[in-house]
Amino acid sequence: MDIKATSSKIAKKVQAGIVACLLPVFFLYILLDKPDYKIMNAMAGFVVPAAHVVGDGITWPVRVIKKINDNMLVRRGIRSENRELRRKLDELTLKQTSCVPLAAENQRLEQTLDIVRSQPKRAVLSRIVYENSSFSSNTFTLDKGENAGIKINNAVLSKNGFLLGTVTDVGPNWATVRGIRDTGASTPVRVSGSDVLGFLRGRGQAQPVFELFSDQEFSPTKGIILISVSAGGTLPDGIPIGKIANAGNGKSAPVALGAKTMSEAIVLIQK
Amino acid sequence: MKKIIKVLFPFFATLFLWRLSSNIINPNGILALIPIFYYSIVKEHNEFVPMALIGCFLLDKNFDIVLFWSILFCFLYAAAGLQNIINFADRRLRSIDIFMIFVGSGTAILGIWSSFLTASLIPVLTAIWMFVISTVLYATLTYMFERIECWTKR
Repeated sequence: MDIKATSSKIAKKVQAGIVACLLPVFFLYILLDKPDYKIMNAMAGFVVPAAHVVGDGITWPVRVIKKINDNMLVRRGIRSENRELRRKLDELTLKQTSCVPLAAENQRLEQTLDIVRSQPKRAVLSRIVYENSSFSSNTFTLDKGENAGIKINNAVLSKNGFLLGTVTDVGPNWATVRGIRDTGASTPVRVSGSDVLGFLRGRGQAQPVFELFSDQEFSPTKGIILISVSAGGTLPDGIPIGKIANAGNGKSAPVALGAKTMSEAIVLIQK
Repeated sequence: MKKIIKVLFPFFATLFLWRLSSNIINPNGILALIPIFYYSIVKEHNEFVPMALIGCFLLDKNFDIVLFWSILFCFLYAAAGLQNIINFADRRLRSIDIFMIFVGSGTAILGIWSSFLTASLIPVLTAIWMFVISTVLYATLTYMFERIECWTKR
């Protein structure tokens, strides 16, 4: 009989017996040390960190690969997110580009709507027989008067539809008009397509200025269209006047008038 | 060198699989049971038994249970050593059936008990997945262990 094999078998049995003896020890421990399991937790206090240290030493290549993979995934995510954001930016830029003509069209339609809202009953075409455009005043005389139905405060338009001024004096066959460029004229105006009101102050030969805005937050911008507003007065609503020439100083802005001084003018007879 | 590898490999394999626990492939480091079982029951390394107990203890910490895998391992090891009816070390495919009983009973107890406690089926599904992944990888990993052992004997 092989002594070595026999002793090995016996050793195995002894080892199994020892391990078997651990079973009641473990059961007793669970019964006695619960619920805190202080001994086991104390053991875990050094066994687990030591195992972690050894485990970290063994598994570092795997963890490095995992880290690289994670970083690559994050990078790929950022790239795809970047692509998506670029696509959205392109879409928004395209939309914004298409919005510019739409906004202009909207402004034009609103302007038209304003004019239609308060169209006077009829218009009288008359010839300008005299024009006084000195340093500070801007008046002119028409060749038609009361006989044609013209009354004081009637609005006078240029042939291209922009406001020239209002009738200040009228006779049987003549009428005097004070132009909006006159320094004595202060025309209530409104920013087309908004509720911002203000006054257009004439400055003679210089460009009139748009000032005294009703909205303190309003900042004038080049190209904004101004239209007339009755504001309880006699001027009809919605007659185009001109465009803001530049932003000015923020509190007032010069206005490029749409009306050109011509040989003829249209007098609007109010309803 | 080969001798050192032969001695240290079971320890390192256990710690390696325990440390690389991940939610899907290696939940709570359960794959560490493979070297624990293989090197203490199938290809018995006498010096490995304390390490097997420590491995079970570490698994218990991962599972947050008290001495569950340790008791189960002691029971299995005692059963393997103290009886002569069934030879646990010499069965088909490196005693995969015994390993399945070992892991299956453990995961079943844990799954069913947790399922009662949480009133949900998720622990049972987790237990099934643990059983499947450890059984499937048992054949692969133990084949690798066998190859390494052959290499160290040369």
